[in-house]
Amino acid sequence: MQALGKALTTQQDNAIFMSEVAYRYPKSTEDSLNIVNWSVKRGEQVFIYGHSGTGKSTLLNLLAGILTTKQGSITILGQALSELSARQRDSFRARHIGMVFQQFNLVPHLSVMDNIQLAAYFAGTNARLVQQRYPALFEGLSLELNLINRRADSLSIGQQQRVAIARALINHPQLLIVDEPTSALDNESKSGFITMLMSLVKKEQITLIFVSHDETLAPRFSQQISMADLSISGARHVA
Amino acid sequence: MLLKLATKSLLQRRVSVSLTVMMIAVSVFVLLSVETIRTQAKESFSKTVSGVDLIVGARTGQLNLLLYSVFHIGQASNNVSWQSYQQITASPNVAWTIPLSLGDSHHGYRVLGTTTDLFTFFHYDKKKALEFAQGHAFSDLYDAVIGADIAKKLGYKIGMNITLSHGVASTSFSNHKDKPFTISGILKPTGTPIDKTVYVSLQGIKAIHVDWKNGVKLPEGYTKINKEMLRAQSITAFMVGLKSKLSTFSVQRQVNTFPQEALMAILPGATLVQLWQMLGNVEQVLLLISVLVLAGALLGMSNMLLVTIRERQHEIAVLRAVGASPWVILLLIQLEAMLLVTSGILLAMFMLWGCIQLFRDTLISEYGLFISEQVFNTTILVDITWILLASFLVTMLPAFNAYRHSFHAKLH
Repeated sequence: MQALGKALTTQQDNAIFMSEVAYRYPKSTEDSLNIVNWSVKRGEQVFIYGHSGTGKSTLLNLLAGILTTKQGSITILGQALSELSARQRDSFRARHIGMVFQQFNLVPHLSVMDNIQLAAYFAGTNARLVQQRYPALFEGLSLELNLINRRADSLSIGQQQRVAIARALINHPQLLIVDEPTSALDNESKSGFITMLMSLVKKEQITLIFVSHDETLAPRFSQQISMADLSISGARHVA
Repeated sequence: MLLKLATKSLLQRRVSVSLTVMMIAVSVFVLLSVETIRTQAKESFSKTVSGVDLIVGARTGQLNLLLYSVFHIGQASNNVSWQSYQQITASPNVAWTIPLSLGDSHHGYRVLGTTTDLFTFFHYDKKKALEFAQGHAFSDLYDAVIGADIAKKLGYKIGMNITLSHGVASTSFSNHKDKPFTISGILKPTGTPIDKTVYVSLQGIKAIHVDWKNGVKLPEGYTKINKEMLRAQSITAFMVGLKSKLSTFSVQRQVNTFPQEALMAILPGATLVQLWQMLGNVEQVLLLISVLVLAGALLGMSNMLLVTIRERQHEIAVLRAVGASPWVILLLIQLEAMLLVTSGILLAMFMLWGCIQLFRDTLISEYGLFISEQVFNTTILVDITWILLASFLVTMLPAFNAYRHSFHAKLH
């Protein structure tokens, strides 16, 4: 009884809980990811670093519920992803998880507003709420309000990445997954970008998972972990 | 939102999208044109004559007689003498006859010499008699009754004078200028070749040809017209109404074996059926070709969409990240295809409408084919439903491809 109670509280406190998770791409002979046990408490800012090919992107896609695995269990914000149907997972992602990638975050031929409305549409957020929310988000990200009606592809890369953050935060997600968002930025904008991101997630108490190969950014996060420590290859796990 | 996404995405690829729409429009246009001609030709031909039991003319092919007498297509090989006409009219089974005398025209519209019996006995569509919108039947020698379309197109009113031309070309060098006709009546629209015909009395036809020998005009005032000259010597053909349908075949036999002259009688309905049977194969081939052209266009569209899926990996990944399910991606591609096909169909309808406006007159005067200005009808609507269904099925290929891609649309 006690153990169960403890397990439940831990589940509720955790933004992420992964246990015995392995993922192997179809037609592949090796696991690309193998995590024995990993949890992240709500409100943490986790920095995950590692070179390409270490399973970073696999991990993020598993966390977002885009990839699924029968091996092990993944619980996000207290919800076991395996209990959800594909459609429910998509809707869960829309409502609770924000995602920002390296580049190509926006639909290029849509306006900035339409891109943000798109995220609201799939999360079931009222379009009028978006109108109310975006000015504050834009201010926090140092984006000029008049960019809202511009076509996404007419913005600079730095502006696009900040719009992507605004889009990811429009539905008030509890978890923000960010994949190398600064790789296309110069050092100065990189630093400014991280500062803005940090202040926003702290203010909104969002759990942040930030993946990068650039270890110089690591000190600014509350937790750091390398992909190599997180995921053991299938062979080592057996040994 | 999805509609907006689909529209914007299509606008993004304006050039290839407009080419695809054109491709679909052209192929749908071909199909709809064939369908329109096919269905409307039957309707128009069957509407043109009703309640006429037999058509009698000089011995020739059955179809030829039907075509030149009723639809004014082609020429009569020979005439029927007035005596034979009188003799058959007098036979006990015959209720009425309407003589037809062809060969002249007015601005490309056929001129038909006949008697006022036409307005009494002739019926079109489902036993509708001819009605006058204005005026009355011809009573004077140089009176003419015109169809509704002529009045509308040429702006003719009662009392105006018109000149008939020899022959049936729209620009004839030999005009009957010396003997102008006065419009005495304008008929109500019928939706048949009647609307495009000028009706005058047999005597009128005779009168304008008094000064003519072998199709050439003699010097003015060469002959003074008198009553004797106005008696018709021959007519092109005539329509027969019988007292009882039961006597149809015996009267037909009687005409076919007429001793004084080589004549022939046909049943208009039966001959029309014969015409459809003859045209049936051509019709099927045309339809098959247009369906194949359409299939080609739809496959082309499918290919265009399939190619773009590869270019749109990022877009699909973004949509997935913000919570779109793979079904939404499939729906999006389908929506784009539907937008393409619908615009193609609308364009095709517009082209069809334009072509009908352009060629309507030619079709009526050259082929006696009366195409309604109404582009929409049930056949066309059924066709459009099939086209939409076919494009839905064809689009399943790229749509399913996008669906599959979106499952492992990896986020970068």
